[in-house]
Amino acid sequence: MDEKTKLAIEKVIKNDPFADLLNVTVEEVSVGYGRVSMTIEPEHQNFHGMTHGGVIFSLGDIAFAIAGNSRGKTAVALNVDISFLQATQVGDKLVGEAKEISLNGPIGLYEITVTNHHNQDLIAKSQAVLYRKKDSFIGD
Amino acid sequence: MNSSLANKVGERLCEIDQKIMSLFGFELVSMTADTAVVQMTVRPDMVNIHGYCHGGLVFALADHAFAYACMASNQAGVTLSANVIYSNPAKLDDRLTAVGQVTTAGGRTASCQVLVRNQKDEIVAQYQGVNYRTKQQIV
Repeated sequence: MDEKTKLAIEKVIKNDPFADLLNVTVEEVSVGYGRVSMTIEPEHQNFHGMTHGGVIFSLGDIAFAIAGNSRGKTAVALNVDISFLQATQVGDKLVGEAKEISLNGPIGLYEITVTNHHNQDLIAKSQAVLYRKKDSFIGD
Repeated sequence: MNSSLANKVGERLCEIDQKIMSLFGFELVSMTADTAVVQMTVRPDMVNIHGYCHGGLVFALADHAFAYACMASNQAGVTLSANVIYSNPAKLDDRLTAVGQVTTAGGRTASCQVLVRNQKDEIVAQYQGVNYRTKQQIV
């Protein structure tokens, strides 16, 4: 992939309105890989005072979208399995990371982790499958 | 266990969850002893790079209905694991309805299925999760 294509893909990938709603920072975009982070705010809590599962899932899902779309082809998620392993609180900085494990034709398998930046504790782990369409989202 | 208790639990949960529910635009529609219905409309700040509703938010909506259905019997709990199947994309301005139904409930865990549909009654996502009961009461 040439530098110009890479930059064009990165520009689209970083323009995710939902990532902005959650104040997610994109830390790394590479082929088949994405890393993002966010700091938990009071509005991300559930009634237990812990981070809402939907927020943790979303952070991982944003990293997954980066990894899945990193080749410039439109990717759509088919299935995601998540296990929540540890609770987090307001002020915690969480890191979401997605790695491509397999890519066979249009089907890709990804491993997603959400970790606590402070102590590297594993907060949630997912396995996700996506379908990659033939069309490119950056044009020719 | 009756639906008036479920209503009280629902009111209390919404009161405490006010911030996250307004961030994601979630509205609790109804609750019974083992069901919860939550709705949202896809806003411009909820879409992904392809213009569809972000998968993370669809999950969050289903997870919310799941949690409320599991807690409707006045037993607090947390999500242990969940699986989501995305069947159809949701688009800007779509009205999404998540219906959570507890399938099995034991002493320490409960399992629950959630279907997320759009305003045309098409299935957007299918969610299944396991809830761990923390032995606290909501009200």
